[in-house]
This record gives sequence, structure tokens and C-alpha cells, in this order.
Amino acid sequence: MTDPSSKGPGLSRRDALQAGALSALGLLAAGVGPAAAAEPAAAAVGQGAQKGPGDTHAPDHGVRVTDRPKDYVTPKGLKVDREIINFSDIPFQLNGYTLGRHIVVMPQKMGGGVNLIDLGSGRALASLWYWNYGDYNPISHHIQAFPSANPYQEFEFINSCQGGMNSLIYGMPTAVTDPPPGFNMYRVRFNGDVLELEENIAETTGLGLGVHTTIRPSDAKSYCISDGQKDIFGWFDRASTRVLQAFRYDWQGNSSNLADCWTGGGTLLISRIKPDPATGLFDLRGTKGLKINWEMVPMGELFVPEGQIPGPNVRALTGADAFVWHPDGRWGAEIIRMLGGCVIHDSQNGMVPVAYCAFPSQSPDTYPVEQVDGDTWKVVIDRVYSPGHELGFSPDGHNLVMMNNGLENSVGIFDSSDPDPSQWRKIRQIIDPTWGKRYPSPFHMAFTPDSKKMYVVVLNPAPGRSGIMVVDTATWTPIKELQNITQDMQSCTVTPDGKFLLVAVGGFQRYASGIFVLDTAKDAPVGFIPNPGGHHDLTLVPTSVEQLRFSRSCAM
Amino acid sequence: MTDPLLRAEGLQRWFGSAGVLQASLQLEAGERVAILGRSGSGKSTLLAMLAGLSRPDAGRVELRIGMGVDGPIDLWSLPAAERCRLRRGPVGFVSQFTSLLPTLSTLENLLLPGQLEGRRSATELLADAEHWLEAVGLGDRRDSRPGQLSGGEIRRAILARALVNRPSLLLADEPTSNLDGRSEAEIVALLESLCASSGTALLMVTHSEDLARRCDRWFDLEAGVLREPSAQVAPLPPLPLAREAAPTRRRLLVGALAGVLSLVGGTSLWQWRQQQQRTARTRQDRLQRLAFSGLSAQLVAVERTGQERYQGTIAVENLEASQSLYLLPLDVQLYIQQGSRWNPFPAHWSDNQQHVLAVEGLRPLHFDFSDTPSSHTELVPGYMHVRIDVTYAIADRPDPEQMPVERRDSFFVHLLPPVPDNENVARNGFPGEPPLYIPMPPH
Repeated sequence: MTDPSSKGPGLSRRDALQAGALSALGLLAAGVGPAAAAEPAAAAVGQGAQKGPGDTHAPDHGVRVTDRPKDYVTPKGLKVDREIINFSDIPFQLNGYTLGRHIVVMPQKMGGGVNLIDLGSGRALASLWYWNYGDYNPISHHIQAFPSANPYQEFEFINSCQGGMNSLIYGMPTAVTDPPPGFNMYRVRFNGDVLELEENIAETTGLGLGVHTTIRPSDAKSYCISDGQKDIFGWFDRASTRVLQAFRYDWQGNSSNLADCWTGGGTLLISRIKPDPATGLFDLRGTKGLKINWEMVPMGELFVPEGQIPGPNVRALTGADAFVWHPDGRWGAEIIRMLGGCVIHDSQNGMVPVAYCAFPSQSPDTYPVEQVDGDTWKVVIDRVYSPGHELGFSPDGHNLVMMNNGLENSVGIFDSSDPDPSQWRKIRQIIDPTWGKRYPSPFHMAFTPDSKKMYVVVLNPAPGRSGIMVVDTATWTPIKELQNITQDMQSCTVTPDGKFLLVAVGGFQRYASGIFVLDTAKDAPVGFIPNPGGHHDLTLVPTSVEQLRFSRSCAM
Repeated sequence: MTDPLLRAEGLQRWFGSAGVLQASLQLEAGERVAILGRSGSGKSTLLAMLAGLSRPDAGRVELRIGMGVDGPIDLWSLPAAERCRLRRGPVGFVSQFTSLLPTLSTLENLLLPGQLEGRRSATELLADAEHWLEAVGLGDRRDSRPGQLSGGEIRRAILARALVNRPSLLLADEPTSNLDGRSEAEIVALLESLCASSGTALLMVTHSEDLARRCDRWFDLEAGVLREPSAQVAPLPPLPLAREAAPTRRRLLVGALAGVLSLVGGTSLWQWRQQQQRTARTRQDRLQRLAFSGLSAQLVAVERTGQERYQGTIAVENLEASQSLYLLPLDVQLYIQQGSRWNPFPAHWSDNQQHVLAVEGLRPLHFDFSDTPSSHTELVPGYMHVRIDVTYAIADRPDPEQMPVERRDSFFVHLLPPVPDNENVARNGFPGEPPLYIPMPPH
């Protein structure tokens, strides 16, 4: 504290009044003079502050041209006569369109993190990079957000990350030749300001799965994560992160010849897998359990029988890469990419498999699922006509759609309205004359909330540009196609109000990336929202459980 | 005024019967000139015409570089062997590829042009090679193989090799490609000082405007036409050009008639021109869509054609049966990962590939390569990490009325080297025989 005697000028009238008031209130220590009482205020504005004449000479408009004096007190009724613009009053517009207050969550596949894009203000609200948490190979891959009444205040999402050799397949001349194992799944919370990494689910459960992530649409209390390199999906309880059920799929081909290993038919084994009772954990973290060394990229299904994908157990591969939910939350379909079909599981009955649907045009509609023992089932398939890649239910649950990529390049459509999945029937096949042998090929899909339209991304390899086909679901007829939009259009989703289709543009990890926006009323392009990072997926944060019906939890 | 060292008059390259490249230029002795253009604009093609590597469809290249001839030499009247002799002597050529022989040391690479020329003694050659190695700062790397040199060192070695026979003219094709900013600055400074000290004229193609502006003069190669921005020259006609004059005259007449009729009809010429521009834009957009969505190109095979030779096959396919598509293969470039960089290695289109092809359905394009390095980075154990860049010009007719669209495809594969390390390869756990190549996802 400064010696009061060192203070220059004597007491002003204000000092005297202030000291008197403090003394009357008993707040002034005995023996301390008024000058000493004023000292803390002076210290608070810095020891070097000197009183200048500015407060007497300048008009009191809230602007000071000198240092603040030690005893300065802001007068009440401060008059501000400059123009004030409140930024929150300015909505983000994209080429004249206001997109609404929605938050898009995008994993940055090659960026190793995730960010939130606010369509209301056009800002990235928050970002998080898993590198900073000790994951040195985080290929931030797929994502789904839990509903939140006010996402701007708080919400939570699940983000699966790949690892292993997957970072080495994108033509980067990296010096990293032995990448860390990765395969972590993260539960992340947005607290209104920043993203908080709450849990590594792989660490909690011992299961490391890096691909599609979907939330049960009936209650949002559980979620599934799959991995087509390990052919495993896990069903997790949201509250406890307990593994409710987990299944592994294995293929036993009839032919010893690799080229016919899948097309020649065989047996699909479905096994319930359980954690080690001693630890309560699975032993499937990192690259443990991989059958192939890198992921099932689009058309990767054809590289496998050609012997061009290495791995410890290639012949047993099924490509179980995604679990999509029927909108009523009871049924779920695990895609079996190598076989061009899906296994229907019953979540109300221990998630047991109950039916198998085959989508290529020449395949029978369904194959029976036979129980082998308490934890094993099998499906005997005589022939596989084409592998497939993406799968989805319409929001009304009446149809199940799969893209038969590779050998057939068509879209297979089932009627899934029967309460018994074994009675679901194939009703239509879209085979478009513009779809070539491998490319362009129908890829990801999204439906409008009323199920009346389906949007299909039509993929071309780089530098070819992808497009979007609009399909009328009353007749399952393509009614419009936007071609030559941009390179590598990936997952897509429709905003809750049904007004816009958002498509993640990954740019093959290096080209142009961001979000492509389409006006669903006119099926006309709106524009691009830039976002770097080689995105592979996106999710809009739902504001109600109901909105999960037309999220990427039900169609991918 | 002295006669120019290099005079190129009316050089042209045609896509079918339409011109897609047109250039005239001249270069004085000791002068430094740059040709600026974006990637794939035809800069390398033009330089190859000036170096006697790629014959122009029209035009003439004259060189006054001695060779026992008083007057100018008509480059393209010389047989191939003579043109080759020029490049070993008075015309130095720096390609954008590594082009050093991987089995020779740096010194041996420098000795090679002189040995091929066969005019000087071994002692003289050695002294010259050592002089240029010192000049480019590689005196202590004389015994290193190219695989042991950094990217900047390789560029310097190539530069020294091009200057070792003391050429009158140095043609440099993107001499700093694939280098970081610091190495680029070093190489450019070296290039300038070496040319200045030896009196060598420099003609360099680059996509960097900064580099171009450091030269005495620079040209812009845009839309197929070479222009000198600072020079007061009569504007060149726009490309593409029709091979015969008659169709052009007919188009002009039709255009003029349409303009007159528009005026008579009350529509201004300005509006008519706007309409013409909109039509041209629409046609260009349509061609863009055809080039990027209507053409499928996939690497479908890589085969061994000899102990150290490979042939790749790209299948191109017109996906729009109702739309004609014509393709002219331009460049094919091979890169192999060494350390953490892509280093260029030579590749070339197989015979009879480099002409305008009508793409109806599926059509294979073959390319060959053999010069692969003994050391490389292995992301997949036992395999080389390889990138193949292919460039094509695409048009909707064999004699296009508008500029063809250029498209570049990059294919990534892991490729078994000529002598594979089988033990290392086995670590991958392939279900059958290890494949010769592993295609990476389409990207």
C-alpha cells in the first residue's frame, strides 16, 4: 500500500464524502485515513495511471482521450451517440437463402477432429481435435447427435474414428509407415461454448469400432456403432455406456477360389460376442479383430475378390459396416456389403437376427435365418449377384432401400411395412441408363421428412464430379438430376423443416470440401458452405426424438 | 540488331482440325525469358517443340547456335539424331522430371552427356563435371546416387548436367517443380547466376508469376495463345482456329448477317453479342459437364512387360451414349514416394496413343514406364507408393469450335518393385498370390 503522505494533491470534496460514508457504514479500518481508503481503486487501474484534464475537457460520450484517473467513477446516464449494431440480429444468408437455426456437426476425417457449423449465423461454433487427447491416428469418421431441445445450449454426440493403415490409402506421401492403432469412439458434449470430450467408449468397453454410428430413433437412449473391417456391431446404452449386445459376422464361401468366394455363395454366420467375464471388457481395441487392413471404400467390395486388399482374414469378410434403424426403433438392419444384403435384428428381443434381405435384382427377396445355438445363427446364400454399399429406411418405415454397387449398380427397394421382416418384399429396382459399370454409381441417400422424395448422391471418382438424383417415392422414379456439382459428395441429410438437403463434400480428402445445400422445394442448388477437413459424414442436431426418423440413424 | 539466337514462327498444335496452341517468339543471346501459364496450359508442349522433342503441327523453329553452320538452323528439318545431338551440346534441356539415372552416381550422371557427345577427352570431361558440381554446391555429393539426394540436390544436379556442355541456350521446364519455397529460391538464384556467368540464354516455363517476373521478359500462355503482356504487338486471333479459312469466313458471314437482321428487327447489336456470349458459355458449360461427368477413366491394369518394365492401362469410357466425346492424351507422369515426397520418374504413352481418339464405349489407353528407383518409401510392406497423373484434352467433336477442356486424373497404387523383397511382402497377409499392384480408392 502506498504511503498516504506520498499522495500529491489534498482531499477533494468527493474523497471526503466517500470517506465519511465508508466510516459511517463501519467499512473503514480505524486509523486509516481517507486517502488510504481510496488507494485500492487506484491500484486497480494500474500504478502508472495519472489523472489528466481529459474528463473535464472532453465531452462525456463514453470516449476517453486520456488514461482513466485513479478516482474515476463512470457517471450514470452515460450517453452513447454512435451507431450500435447487434450482430445476433444478422442472420446468415447463403445466396439469398436463410437456412434456419440448425447446428451441423461434421467430423474431419483427415483433420482428426470435429467441428460445429451454425447455419443460423454462418460460424463454426466450436472445434475439437482428438490429437490433443492422445489419439495419434484419429480418422474422425462417422457421427450422430442426440436430440436436444436447445442445441445452442447443450447437446451430445458420438463420433467413431478409424485407425491403423486407413490413413495410408489416400495418396499422401507420408513418412508415417506404422501408424498408431486408433479405432476409438468418442462421446462429446457441446456445453454452449466449447466441445468437451467426455468419454472414449473404446476404452470403457474394450470395443474399437470406426464406422457408422446410429441412434435408436424411438427413444434416443441407445446407439449402435459398426465396423466393416472387423465385421462387428455393438449396441450401447447411452446412460451407462454398457454394451447391450454385440454381434460378429463371418463368411464361409463355397468356392476355394478367391474370385468366386462371395459370388459363388456360402454361409453367413452371425455370432453374439461377449466381453471377458473377468474384466467386463472386450479385447477388440485398436486394430485387434481386423479382417482387412483398410476400410471398405466405395467399390472396395470389388477389390476384395480381386485379391488387392490385404489383411489377416480376408476370406471371412462380410463388410458389416453399418446398422440402420427402422424408424419405429424395433428393427435394425446391419448391412452386409460383400453380399449385397442386410440382416434384420430385433431390438425388443435381445437384438437377435430374424431375417435376411437380398437386394440385387436376381436374388430372392429374403433368405431364412437359422439358429445354430444360443449365440449363433446362419444364413445360407446360394449366389451373390452384386455387393452393395448404402442402406436406409424411409422415415415412414414403409420402405428399405439399398444401393447395389459394383456389379449391378442399381437401387433395390423393399416394402418394409409388414410387421414380420421375413415377409418384407422387393418391389422395385431403379436401374438408370446413366449409371456405368462401376461409375457413376448411386451412393448415399436421404429422405424428406414426409417420405415423398428420396435424394441419392451419384458418385464419380476424382476428378469427376458427383451429382444428386431426386426420386419420387410414390413411383420410385427419378424425376430430376443435378450433375457435375463437385467432387466427392458423401453423406446427406434433410433439415428438420424439410426445406434443405445438406450434403457433406469430402473432396476425396484433398479437393474442395464443405457442405452443399439444395432447396428441396425447387430441387435447385443453393450453394456451398466452406468447411475443411475431408468430411465423410455430417449430422444435424435434432431438437426432438421424432426428428431421428429422418436422420442418418435411419438412412445412410 | 543482331539475329536472334532462337526464332519460333507460327508454331501450332491442333486438336483434330482445330488449333489449340499457337506461339511465336524470339530470344536473343544471353537473354532470360519466361513462359508463364497455369498447369496443363501447354507450356511443356511448347518447350518440347522448341527443344526438338515434339513436332509442331505447323510453324518453324530457327536456332543460331553454330554447329558449323553460319546461318540459322531449321530445327525441324533436322533428323532425330541431329536434334538429339543439339540437346547434348548447344541446347541444354532441364525437364521437370528427375531424369537422373538412378544407378549412376551424381558425377557419373554429369559425365554422361559429354561421353555421349564424344568430342572431349576423359580428363576434360572430368574437370568440367567437377567444376559444375562445385558450382551448384554438390562437390561433396559426387559419389551419391540420386536416391540419396534431397529434392533440391536433385534439381541442382540436373541443372549442372544441363550446363556441363556449356550450351548457348538452356530450356528449363518447371525447373523448381515439387520444391519447397526455400529450395525454389535457391535453384532460381543458381540458375540466374550460372546463366549470367556462362552467357547462356535461358528460356524457362513456369506457373509462378514471381519467377517469370525475375526474367528479362516474360510471355503468358493463355487459352492456347502465347502473348507477351508488355510488348506492343498486334493481337493474335483467338483460338481455336479452323484449319481451312472457308468455314471461318462462313461463320463470320453468317454472324454479320445475323447482326444486320437483329438490327433490322429492332434488337441492338449489343444484345445480339450478349446472346452470342451466353450461347458460348452454355456450350462451354456443356463441354465441362461432358469432360467431368461424362467421361469415366479408371486405371484397370498394371502389367510387367519386362524385368524392369511396366505397362499401365487406363480405360476411358463415354458414359453418355447420345453425346460424342473426343480425347487427346497429353501428359502422363509418374511419381514414386521417396522419403515423404513424390519424386517424378519418366513415363510415356505407348505407341499410337497420342492422337485424337473418338471415345465410344470403353477404350484402353496404355502407358509405359521402367525407370523406378531402388530405394522408396513403403506404406504397404514391400511395395512402392506410386502416383500416376494423366492429362487429356477433351472435346465434343474432332475439330472443336471451342477450346477443349483439359482434365487431369491422379491414380494411386502400391506397386511391387522389379526385385521384390518377398519376406517383406508376405507381412501383408494376402489371401492369395501378392498382387503386382494394389489400387487405392478413387480419389
